[in-house]
Amino acid sequence: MIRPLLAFLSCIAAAAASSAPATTGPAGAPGGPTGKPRRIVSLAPNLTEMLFAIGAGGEVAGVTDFCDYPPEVRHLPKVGGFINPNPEAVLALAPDLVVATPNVGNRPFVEQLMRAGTRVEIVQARNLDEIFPALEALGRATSRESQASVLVRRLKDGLLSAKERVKGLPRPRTLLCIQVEPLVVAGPGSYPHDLLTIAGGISIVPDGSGAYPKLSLEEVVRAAPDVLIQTRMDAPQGLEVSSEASDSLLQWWGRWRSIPAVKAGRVHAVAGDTLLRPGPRLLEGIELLIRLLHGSTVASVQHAGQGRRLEGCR
Amino acid sequence: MPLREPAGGGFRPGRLAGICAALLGLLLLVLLAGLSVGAAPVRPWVLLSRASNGEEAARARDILLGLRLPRILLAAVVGAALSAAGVTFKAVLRNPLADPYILGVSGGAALGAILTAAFGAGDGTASAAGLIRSLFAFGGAAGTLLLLFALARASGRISNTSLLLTGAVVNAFFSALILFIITVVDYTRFQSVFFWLVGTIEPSGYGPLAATAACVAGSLLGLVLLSGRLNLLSLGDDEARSLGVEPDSIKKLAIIAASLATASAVSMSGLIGFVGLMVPHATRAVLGSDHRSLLPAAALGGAIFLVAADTAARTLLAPVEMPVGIITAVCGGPFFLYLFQRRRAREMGG
Repeated sequence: MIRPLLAFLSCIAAAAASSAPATTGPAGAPGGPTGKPRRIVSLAPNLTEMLFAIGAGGEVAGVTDFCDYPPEVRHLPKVGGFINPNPEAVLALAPDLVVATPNVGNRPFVEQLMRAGTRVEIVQARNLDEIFPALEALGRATSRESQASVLVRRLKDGLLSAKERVKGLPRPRTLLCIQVEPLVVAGPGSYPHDLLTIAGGISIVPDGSGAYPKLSLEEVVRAAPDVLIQTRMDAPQGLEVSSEASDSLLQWWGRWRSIPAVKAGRVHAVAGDTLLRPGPRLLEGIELLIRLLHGSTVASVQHAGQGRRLEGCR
Repeated sequence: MPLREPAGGGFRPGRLAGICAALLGLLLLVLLAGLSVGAAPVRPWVLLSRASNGEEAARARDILLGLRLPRILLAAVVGAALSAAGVTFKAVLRNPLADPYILGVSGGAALGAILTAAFGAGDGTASAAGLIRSLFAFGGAAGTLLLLFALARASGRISNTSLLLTGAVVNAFFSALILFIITVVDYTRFQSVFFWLVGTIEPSGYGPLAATAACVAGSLLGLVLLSGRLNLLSLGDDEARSLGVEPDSIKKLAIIAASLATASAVSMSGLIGFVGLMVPHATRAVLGSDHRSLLPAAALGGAIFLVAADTAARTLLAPVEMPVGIITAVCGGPFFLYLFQRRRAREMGG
């Protein structure tokens, strides 16, 4: 059960690490090949997803313990955690490119790699807007500029069409809940919050609460959300979630009958990876939210390569 | 010696009744205040004023009766348990700095509770799971206390410094084990466990609240019944024996009761520190050191203090909440340092 947390950690840690260096790796570092890398180690699950999305998956030689998408990465060598990659495991793979996202834990390690002459590309992707430059940066680093820009265009088109589809629809007041006991929710400034806004929902989390606040349950009852979306970190892409676990979450919320979402049976337990991990599957995350927020009023659009979704509705 | 007056001197049941009535009144006031404030601007008299109907009333009921009331009641129960345990540990170990948190007894209970998660039990809200968790927590608390007790007995009266050092080491050891278990077993609960380690009171259902209250009430009753004999412990073992009391049996009973109180508190709310240090000292400063009045008064005082602290924890940053352990530590840390300095000065001055 170590993997699933990453989705959440990746958001938190990346958001907490704005002070980390925003530099990119030394171009043409000593000993490092300047051309197309052939052995890439990814130190973040969303970067792993991005590499595969721009067609560089074949060159990925190692990933973190938390990387679980696309499914083929599960067979790749693991180099340790997201906050604490294992330097020996990384170097043992003899990478000619390491891609990393700045976080609280990996800075000394990344600096050490750079001093040792390994080419490191540092890519920041904490929210929706940062995904596109991140994809372009990875495209440049892997000599796949054209694939990256095609993907960026497709994602931006998808965003526009999603906005178009929800235009004029009622905007349900929504709570995106990361976990209960203690209650931690997605607030303004977080990636899930960005997706919720695009999908035509209004977050009930007050401004200034922080990206992932520990919110008062009283405030949730008071704010009376129409829809409640509970992400499940232990239900990553491709893994079955036990319905028992979902049931107990839904039961947990069911105690508060005055919440409109509870009364109307609009509490949804869903796998969290597409909602929590800022990466190339953003349209899937938005699609999931649109379906939960607007139901059958909006025609569903299927995207290629869309994974299985887990959902339990009351 | 922590005693200021001879044991048994000046104890008047009427005075105790008056003190307890006053503290109960204060507790009711604090509970009412706690019920009146929160992230949502809902006041308790809403329930009385209008005929309760409609969505607004249902929301008010959920907030007041579903969330605030069980939470402030739990804070009261936990506060009373920790404070009474603090009084008992000070008497049994004959050390004024003894407290469930500082001694590592809370840490032992926490380790026990976490162990149930490692075995896949004790997780979730089912009452059977809660019972298993409480049992393990009790085992951890009692085990830690027996260890400290053995150390204290080996060296006659354990000194402040060695007691604190032992507590710090025990705490560090247990924290490491707890973090190890989380890392290996269930990383997804890292954040929940973090809040729990800092000490946090969550709105619980009435079922777990009633179970905790029953355990705490039982151990408090036992401690109150023992309180007269706790006085004799402060005289020293030989003196107690000469008065016809076997100190070891008193100590054992007191340890069992105090461990049960600590474990019940910890398995519901994690490691809330310093309540068992501050409240007993404040109570002793006002009422003197006779345990027959000290124990019930400190229990009520602990309830008052923790309800107030938790009300602050839920309202200061509303609608964001912080763990109540932050509040108690911010109050308790400086208090502890002051106390430690004062005692050291006294010991060195002779």
